Amino acid sequence: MMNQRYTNEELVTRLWDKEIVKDLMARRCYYKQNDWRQRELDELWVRNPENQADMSLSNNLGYFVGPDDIKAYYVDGIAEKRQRQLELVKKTNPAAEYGNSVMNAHTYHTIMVELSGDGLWARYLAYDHGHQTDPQENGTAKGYWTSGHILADLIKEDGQWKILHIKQNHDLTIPAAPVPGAGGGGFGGPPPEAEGEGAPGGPPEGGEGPGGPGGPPPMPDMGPDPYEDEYGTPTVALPYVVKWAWNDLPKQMPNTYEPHESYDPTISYGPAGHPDQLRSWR
Amino acid sequence: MSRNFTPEELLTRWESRREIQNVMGKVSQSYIMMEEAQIYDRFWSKREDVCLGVNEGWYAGAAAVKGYYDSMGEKIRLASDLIAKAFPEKLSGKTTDELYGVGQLGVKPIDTFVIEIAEDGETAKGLWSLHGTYANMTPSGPVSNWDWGYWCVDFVCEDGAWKIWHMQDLKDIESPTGGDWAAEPLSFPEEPAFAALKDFRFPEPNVKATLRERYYVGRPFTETPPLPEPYETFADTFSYGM
Repeated sequence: MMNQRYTNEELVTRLWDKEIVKDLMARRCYYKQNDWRQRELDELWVRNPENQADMSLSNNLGYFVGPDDIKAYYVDGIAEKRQRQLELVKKTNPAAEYGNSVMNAHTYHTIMVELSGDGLWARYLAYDHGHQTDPQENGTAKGYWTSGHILADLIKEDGQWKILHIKQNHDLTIPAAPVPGAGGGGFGGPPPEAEGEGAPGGPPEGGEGPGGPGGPPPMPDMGPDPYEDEYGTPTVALPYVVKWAWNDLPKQMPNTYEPHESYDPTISYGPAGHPDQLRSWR
Repeated sequence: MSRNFTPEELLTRWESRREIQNVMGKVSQSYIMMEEAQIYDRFWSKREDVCLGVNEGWYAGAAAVKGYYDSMGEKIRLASDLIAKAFPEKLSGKTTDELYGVGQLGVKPIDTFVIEIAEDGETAKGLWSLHGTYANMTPSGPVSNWDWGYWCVDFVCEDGAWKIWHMQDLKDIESPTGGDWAAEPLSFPEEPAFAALKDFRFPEPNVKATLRERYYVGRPFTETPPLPEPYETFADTFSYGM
C-alpha cells in the first residue's frame, strides 16, 4: 500500500491538499463565468517564470503555451468576443453595456484528484456541464447547453497549489430549444448531405452509420457551433477531437488513473502529454 | 489560510469541510425524497436571525423560513391529492401519507463548491452551483423545468454540528424544458383536473428585494454571487444574509 510510507502528519497534508485542489479549480470555474480571466491567470496559475514557460491552456484544436499566448487567446479573445456581442446588442439596445444579454455557466463535477507520491503534483479530472447564451442579430438571444472534459495539472509553487496546465475538451453544444429533425440532439452529428447520399467520413464501411444506407438520417444543419468561436489558433496545434460526432472513435486521453511518484510531462495535460497514438495509453 | 494550523487542527477543518458538504448534500437529497418540509427542522440553525434569500427577496426570521419550507409540503400534498383523483384506478385506496409526493420530482444536484471555514472554527461559508430539473405541478398539470443557479450559505457551528444560518437560493434559469430560456417560455393549456392549483400561493418573502434577476434578453452582465474568502471570524467577512 502506497500510504504506508507516510507519517500521519503527511497523510493529513495530503487529505487537505486534495480539498485545496478541488477548491482552486472551483474558483477557476467561477472566475471564468465572471470573465475574470486575467485575474485567474494572476491568482490561480503558476507565477514562477520557469513554470510559466511550460504553462498551457488547451482546447480541441491544440495548446496555447506560455503566459503571452494564453493571454492573447483566453483574455484578449474573450474581450474581442464580448465587443462583437455588444455591437450586435447595441443595434437594438444602444444603451447596452459590456456583457448585456450574455450568460454562461460552467460546473465541475465527478471530480477525481490524484496526488503524486512526492505530493508536489496533482492531476485533476472532472466533467463540465454548463450553459451559454449568446445575443443574436435581431435583438434576441439563443441558449445552449455545453459539456466537456476538464483536466488539469497543478503543482506546488512556494507551498501553494497553482495551475500548470488545463485541458478543456469540448464535447457537445446542444441548443436549449430542440432543432426540428435533430431529435433533441445537439451539434455533433455528421453534416447534412444531399438526399440519398451518405455523410463523408460518416458511416463506416458497411453503411450502418448515420446518413448511410440503413442507418439513421444525418443531422440537420444547425449552423456553426457557437462554442467554436472561442477555439482560436493554438501555439501547438495538436487536436483532441475537433468536433464530437456519432461515428468518432473513442477519445484519446492520457492514463489518468494510475498514481505516479513525481511529475511526468509525458503523461501530463500539457503538449508533451498529448496522446498522439490512438489508444496508446491502454 | 492566513495562519498555519497544526495537523490536528487541519484534520478537524478537513472534517468540517466534509460535514458541510454532507449537510448541503442532504438538503439536495431532501428535494429528491420529497422531504422539503423537513429541511428547516433538520438542517437550519434555531437562531432567530436566520434568513433565506430568493431572487425576489428574503424570508427573514425563523418563522418565515420555516413557513417557506412548510408551504412546499402543502403544495406537494395538494398536488398529490389532485393526481390521486385524476388516476383513481391506480391510486384509490391509498392513504394520504402513501400518496404524498406521487408523480412529482425535484432534482437539485450541487457541485463546484468553494468552502471557507473561519479560523476560529465557529462559522463557515460555502458557494455551490446548482443544475437541476423539477416537475412543477401547475394548473396545466406537471411541467418540467430547468433549474440552474446557486446556493450561497453561511453556516454556524452549534453543539458541534454545522447548521445553516443564512442561505440564498438564486436562479439564473428557471424555465420549461424543451424551450429556450432566452425566448418566451412555453405555455400549456389548463387541465381541469389540476385547476385547483391556481389558488395555491407560496408565501411572499417578508422583505422584498431583488437579489438576482433571472436571465432575460437585455439582462446586464451578471456575475456569480461572491466567492468565500479566507477569514478569521465572521465579523471580518461578508454575509450571505441580509
